Amino acid sequence: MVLKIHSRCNLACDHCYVYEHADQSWRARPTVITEETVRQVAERLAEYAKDRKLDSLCVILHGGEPLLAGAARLRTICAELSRRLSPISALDLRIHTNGVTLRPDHLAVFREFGVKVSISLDGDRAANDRHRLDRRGRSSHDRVLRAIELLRTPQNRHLYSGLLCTVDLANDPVAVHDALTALEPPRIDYLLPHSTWENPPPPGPGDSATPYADWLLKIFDRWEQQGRRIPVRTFDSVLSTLRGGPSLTEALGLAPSDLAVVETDGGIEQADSLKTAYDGAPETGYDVFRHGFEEFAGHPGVLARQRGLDGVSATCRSCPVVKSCGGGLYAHRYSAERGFDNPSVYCADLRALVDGIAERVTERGVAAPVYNAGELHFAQVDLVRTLLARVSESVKGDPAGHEAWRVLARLDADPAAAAHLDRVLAHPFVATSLLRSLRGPQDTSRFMALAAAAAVRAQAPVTLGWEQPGRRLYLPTLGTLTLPEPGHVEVEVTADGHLIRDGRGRRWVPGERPEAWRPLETVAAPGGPPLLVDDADPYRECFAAPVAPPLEASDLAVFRKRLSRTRELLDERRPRWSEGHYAGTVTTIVPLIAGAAPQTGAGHGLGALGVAVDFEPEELLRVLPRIAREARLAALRRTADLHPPGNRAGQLLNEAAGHLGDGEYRAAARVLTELTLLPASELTGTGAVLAAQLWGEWAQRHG
Amino acid sequence: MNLSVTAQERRAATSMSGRRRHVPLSAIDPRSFTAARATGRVMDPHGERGVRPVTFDSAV
Repeated sequence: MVLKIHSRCNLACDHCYVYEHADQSWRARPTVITEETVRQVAERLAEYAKDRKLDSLCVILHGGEPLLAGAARLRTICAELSRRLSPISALDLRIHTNGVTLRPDHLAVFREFGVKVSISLDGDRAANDRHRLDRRGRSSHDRVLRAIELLRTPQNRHLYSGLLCTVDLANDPVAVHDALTALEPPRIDYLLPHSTWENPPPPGPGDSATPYADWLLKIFDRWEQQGRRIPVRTFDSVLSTLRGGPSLTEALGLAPSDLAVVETDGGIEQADSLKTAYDGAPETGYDVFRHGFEEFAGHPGVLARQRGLDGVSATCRSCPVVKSCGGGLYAHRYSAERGFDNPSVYCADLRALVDGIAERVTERGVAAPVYNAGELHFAQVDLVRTLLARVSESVKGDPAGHEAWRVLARLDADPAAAAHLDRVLAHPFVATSLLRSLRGPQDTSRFMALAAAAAVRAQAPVTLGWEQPGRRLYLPTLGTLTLPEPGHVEVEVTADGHLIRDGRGRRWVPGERPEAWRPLETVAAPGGPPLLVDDADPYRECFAAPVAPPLEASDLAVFRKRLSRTRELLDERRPRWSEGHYAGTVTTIVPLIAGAAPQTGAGHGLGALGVAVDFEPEELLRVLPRIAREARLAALRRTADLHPPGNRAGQLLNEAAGHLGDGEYRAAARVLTELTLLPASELTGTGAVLAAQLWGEWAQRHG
Repeated sequence: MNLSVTAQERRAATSMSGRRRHVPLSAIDPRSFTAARATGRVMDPHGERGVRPVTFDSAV
């Protein structure tokens, strides 16, 4: 919810959609929101959150310029929202401001309530001063920079949310981006100037049909050169959707809009940006005194923005980039003739932006992993090592994490130990844990356990200590120690073995098989490495079906027998199934709940296979060729580009691999033929080699 | 599509006959262009079920 707490502004930005565009409703609004209105807003939001069982709520204080409400009023507002909403739902409070009057007393309030602050800034002084002047025509740049410096101090840094920049083609894009990144924001975003088919955007200086895309792509190139150090929301959203993930902004993609705006008089409106379309465009006729948010959620204008693909124009529905573009920002689709049933006024630019990003992140050559399983395995481990290095950046701030990183680097530098380290890193759920640490809360204990497991395998003398949050201490690829209680643990590795101590001096020596230690089981595989049965890794929950809890000894014995029987049948009927390209596609078996189909998961490394505790060996035998192909394809995609992301070739490769795995050769031929007839640019060199390999398999089995 | 894979596969297999070493952990710059491009393939999609970002256009 966006809460307008002040309806006036101390700047006169000539591109402002609140004051300079079609809707002029601000003139009739109270200047400041009253306490009564805030109480009513909080009450209505609490009702809604309770009814819908929302586990989180985001409230953005906005305006006009919200800082004009003053620190005391800001405190009252934050206190009321927190009082009413925090008991019901996790409250995420934010404020978006021009920063011109940001002072220490404001920041004291924001620290008290954890309010995250984002600031509008259009680049360096020259860029910013094109539009963002005060009412006397003076530059706001210095004042905004002072505000940002306040935010960057150690006590306020955690409140600094990011910078928002409106695109102006007259500004040099790289200079703009460099000016913003110099201020070290946690995030940047670039907004296209609000425009409609009735009031199109300013044209570019040259002849390009896509000047806005060109401008943004120059920044994309700079951003990539800099190693994507600072997230840029527009780019992250396009990249996410190109690779099958969700969009990250209402300006792009098909994610439903769940936004409500409450004005200073308590009026509930649709998205603010609609003010650019026509006078009264955001209105609903609802207000917090007479209506709840449930009614607002049922308003036709709100529902229209939650229909996904059905909610965009026919032109957009047939566009290959619709999943990334989503028809652009809703307001930008407006025309007097057709309302919002149009592509965006920025359609050509959005198409060029998505295509341009897709092309830029696609490696067109031929990558070694496509040639053989050994190269694929090497590339997988390489990727995990890079993820590990990324995670280490944040873990190293903790003394224990710093020590663990030193241990890992030492093992890596020792040729005898490095192979053991890589064996641990190749465990499929190590990748999972690293990705989760990068995306969400850091799991330092996992990082420590990883280093400890590598040291144990390498028999490298080391002692590592850390705070273990739960009772189960899992060492990847080795097993689980159940502690009497969470707390401090130490893993001491010597040349003779290893032991684990807790904070009270109790010790366990896994080599002596104490009751508390449960090693991971393996199943012998004649002619190949043993399969690991992992029913304990907390990160194994990557499958569509729920995983089974750690198996009782008797159930585990039965499970292992079934796996052994499957291996026997494989050796009899498909003795070469795991040779060549498919070697290493199954290394780790995860028991799933009874009745689940055999499956690979998502977000794990190569080798994991989920199998029901009561699986039938004949059924597993039947689906294994398809699963091995899926696993190989997923692994290739993690380490190489088969095609520009999001295109038809990707789907065809999936289908071809699936049909070949299921022995459906006619269907496979049809799909492979369609793949062959695509323009050459639809596949990279790696993708083309893969397609040739699939044809070769088809010819071997069917030709 | 007549790509000869045999010759390249042979060369790649030969390159694997000695023990290959990865770039040392201590030498990896996780924020380099190469690293960002490599990890982008797995980091770019923000999960299957998605996150709950601040999606409001006029706030970051």
